[in-house]
Amino acid sequence: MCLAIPGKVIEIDAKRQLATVDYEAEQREASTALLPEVKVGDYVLVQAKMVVQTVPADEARKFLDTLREGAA
Amino acid sequence: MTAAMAPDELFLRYAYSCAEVQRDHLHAVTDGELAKVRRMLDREDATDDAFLKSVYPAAFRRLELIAKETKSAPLTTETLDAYFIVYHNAFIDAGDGSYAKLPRWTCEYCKVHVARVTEVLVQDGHRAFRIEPYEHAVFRQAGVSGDLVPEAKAGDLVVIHQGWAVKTVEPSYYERLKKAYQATKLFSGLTQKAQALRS
Repeated sequence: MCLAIPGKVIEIDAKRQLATVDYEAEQREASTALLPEVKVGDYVLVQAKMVVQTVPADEARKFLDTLREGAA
Repeated sequence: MTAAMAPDELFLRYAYSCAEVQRDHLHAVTDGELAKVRRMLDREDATDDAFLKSVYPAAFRRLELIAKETKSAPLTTETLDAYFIVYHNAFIDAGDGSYAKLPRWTCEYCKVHVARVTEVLVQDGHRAFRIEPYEHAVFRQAGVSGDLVPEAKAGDLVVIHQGWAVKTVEPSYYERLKKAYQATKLFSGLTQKAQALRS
């Protein structure tokens, strides 16, 4: 099942077109075939194990901070 | 020619990813409920209408509104297409229900658009479509999962919702839907409310 929240790209394997996406509680791999220009530090949304879009970092961080505060 | 899709299957295709947002943003859906919806989407379990109404109360409320306005039934293919393709974005911009409290980027991600498939990729058994906007649509997705629409090919128009292609659509049908349903009082009311929120 996908996570409908932005994750942060922490590693890119350009040869395999794979990104490691960090969701704090877990990390998942996703294909970068649709967005080969994605880079480490970008916040992304993943669907069916594929990176489908980036989310501006300020928007992503603000949202994740709100989620964290809600969980506290 | 592709066999016509049953309305319950069409609803699940459109709405499945909304349950992910409800789980992750609103904590309104549990992992178990989401998994159950996914099993229905994958046709592993029979559709349970009462359960779907409990997971998607806002969607069913809006479908009832549209059905009442247009004197149709809520769960027909055309009412579903009208809701998701024509009205859905208007409900979002009007701040209807939970959209009033979701962040801006989520609201934009939740919108439904028509896009043109420019490339089909197949990787590890999954299909994905690189897409470009059709008409004046503005969205951030570079691509979507094509797993639900295996018949789509480059050049086809698809309806997209969050990270999914939901179905192919013919331009003439899309234009007819817009013409018919954007002329309703419900649509103009939503548009006016959205304008008021922006001002």
